[in-house]
Amino acid sequence: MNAWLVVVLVGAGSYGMRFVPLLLADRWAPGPRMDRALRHAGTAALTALAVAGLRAEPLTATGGETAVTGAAVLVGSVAALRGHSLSVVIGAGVAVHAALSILS
Amino acid sequence: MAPIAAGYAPFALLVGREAAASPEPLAGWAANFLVYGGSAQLSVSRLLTDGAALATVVLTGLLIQARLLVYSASLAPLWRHRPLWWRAAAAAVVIDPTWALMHARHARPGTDRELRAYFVGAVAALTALWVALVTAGMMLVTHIPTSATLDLVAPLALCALVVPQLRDRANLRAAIAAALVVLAGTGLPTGLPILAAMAAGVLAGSLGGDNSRDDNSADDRSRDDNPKGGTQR
Repeated sequence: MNAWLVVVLVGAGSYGMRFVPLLLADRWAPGPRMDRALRHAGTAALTALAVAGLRAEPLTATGGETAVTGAAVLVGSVAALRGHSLSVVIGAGVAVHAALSILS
Repeated sequence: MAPIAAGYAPFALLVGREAAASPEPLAGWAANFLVYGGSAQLSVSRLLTDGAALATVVLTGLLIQARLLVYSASLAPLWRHRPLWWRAAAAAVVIDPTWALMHARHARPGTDRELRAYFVGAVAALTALWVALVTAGMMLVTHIPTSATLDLVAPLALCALVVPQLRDRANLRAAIAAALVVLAGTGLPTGLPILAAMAAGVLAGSLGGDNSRDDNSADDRSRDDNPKGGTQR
């Protein structure tokens, strides 16, 4: 019962946070400054989620694993910067991580 | 969107595995539609499994989801000419890849009809694949290995979304500030470092003034004023 209540409450709160700005969209238009600030906040949120995911224990339990993870992310990021597809970015990063994990 | 959803596959399987291990697996599955956010689903499932207090679980889930307020506020100017029922339906599927892809798509030329079709196709593919993979994760719970390499996939998928935005200096500053804040925020309750990182990102992004290379605000607004016109860039 608690689990259902949690899911309903978190779901309702999530929907409210998603819907309120869209509900007010025709009455409120952010200026250029606010528009840029919102985009920076979005970029920061994605970065924060990525970094938080990378801090997960199996990826950074030891110095060696941290270095392997860092190398994999570097390769993936270079692929992303060069405009490769998401599949290539993930494939490159995972391949580097798997190869270095076997070697180390 | 399908490649992005595929990129999230290991993460979705992990979410499914944790939902299956939670006290109410069906509630964990329903969260795919009600919560629609992998990070929050994962944290909520884990906290419920650990027997955390109801208020703690709900607050954690909402803190993690708080970034959606910013995503929606950022998407609002792009969708303000759409009918209320459309915005109400679209609100249900605003999430990290939706936000990143919609801004990337709106930066390219396209008619209003094409933009709408892109959004509908993207969220349909994302939702269908996400639900299917979480369900698979719940059914294959004992067969999913724990591996550091698999744990790397979700952060890499996020990198693929965020790194192309870093060509813009202001975004780069925002990302660096966010990363530093998250690294410094170890030990804080789940969700808080993300909010702090967003605040730091806004501050850092604004520090250097207006030097965006890909500022599409004016174009977005002009398209909104003329919904059928599309961009002429």
